[in-house]
Amino acid sequence: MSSSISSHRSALKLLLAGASVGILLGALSAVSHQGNEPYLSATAVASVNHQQILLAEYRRAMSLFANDKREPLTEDDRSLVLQRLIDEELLIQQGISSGLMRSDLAVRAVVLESVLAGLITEIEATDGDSAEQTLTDYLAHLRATASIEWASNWVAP
Amino acid sequence: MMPMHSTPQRSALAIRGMLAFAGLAVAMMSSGLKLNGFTENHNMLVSINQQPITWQQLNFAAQRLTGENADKLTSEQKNTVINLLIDEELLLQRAELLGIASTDPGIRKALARAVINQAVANVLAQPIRSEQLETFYRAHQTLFIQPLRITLQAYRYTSMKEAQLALAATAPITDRASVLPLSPMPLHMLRRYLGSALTDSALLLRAGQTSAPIMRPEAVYLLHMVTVQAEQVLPLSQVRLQAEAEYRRRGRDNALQQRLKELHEGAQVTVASDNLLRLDFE
Repeated sequence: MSSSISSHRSALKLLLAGASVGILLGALSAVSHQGNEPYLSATAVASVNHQQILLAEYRRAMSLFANDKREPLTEDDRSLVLQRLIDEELLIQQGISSGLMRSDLAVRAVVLESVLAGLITEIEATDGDSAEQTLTDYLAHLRATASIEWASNWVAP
Repeated sequence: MMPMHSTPQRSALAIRGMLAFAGLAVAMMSSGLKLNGFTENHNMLVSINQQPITWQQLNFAAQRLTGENADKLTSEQKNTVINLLIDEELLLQRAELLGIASTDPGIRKALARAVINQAVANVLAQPIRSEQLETFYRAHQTLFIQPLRITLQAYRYTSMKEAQLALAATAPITDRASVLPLSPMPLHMLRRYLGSALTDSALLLRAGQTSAPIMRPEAVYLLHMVTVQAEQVLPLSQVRLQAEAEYRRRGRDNALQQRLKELHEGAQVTVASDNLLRLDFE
């Protein structure tokens, strides 16, 4: 009887501990999401979900804007340029998080082109092997280090 | 033997259990944890580092590459396509790892354009009903105004006497060409041709009337007003295409603004005011 009561108490304690830990983690996580001001370096003009918009980027955008405008830039123009950069960053982050890199054919093509271009530049800079062979080897290496699982209803090649 | 509990004890246990479950759920939700098992795609053919490649993707790629559905392909062809998809997936994962998507200007542009296209797709796909277009046209009639248009002839003379003689003659001027084309022109075009002073003089003329000689530093002018078409609101039947384009443009802008508003609401945006101020003084 006493052992059953003691095991019952232990179970209750465990439940209580689980609840407390859960609530504590949830609260901590919520607080950290809300109260954690992102660090902004001296070279940044803004931060969008912890992604910084750099001063150089802002300057470039301002210069493009100024080229299209005859009169000198106003305070409103500066705000507008910054707002557009923030909007653009939000759109890009949304595109990445919603998986457009894979699902949107145009984006997918641009990403693949960019990765391949980077790899080819790297290959050309490092050795004299043919780009195609090195690329094949590189893909083989990526495959070897990846976790590839075939569905049971598919006869893997 | 299982311990027996009374009803209040059971209730207390249930409450504690629920509390524990709620606590864990809050923790899991806050951490953004995703349970792949719950969202697993049943059409998955292969997963590459937990990223699935599905039948739909295979079909889509097969159509893109061969113009046929995947089920029309031989096993060998299917394997070729799926291997291509695996290679692409590995390269996409490499791009993610390197953070290329957020730094490459070409990809950034493509991503932003794709999100915008997604946000406005519904608006652009919806047909515009006649009532909608009519309501829009009535509410925005100022957009469909044809401005004042003037057909004017301007003759140039080297001296006041020459201009006065031409004016005194009863016959129309035929000895020289007008410096303006014989077609109706909006006011801003006229100003571009003649400058402000001559245009202002022309505006005082009625149709068929010829001005007195007007002395300008470069020459003397006679202006002859041919027609004056008053500003008018064009009927919808005449501007239907223009009205539809404007309706869609505004719908597109609104949809995009709404999407941006939602993204702003869910984002943490901080502006480095100090850095911006410093920039002003540079």
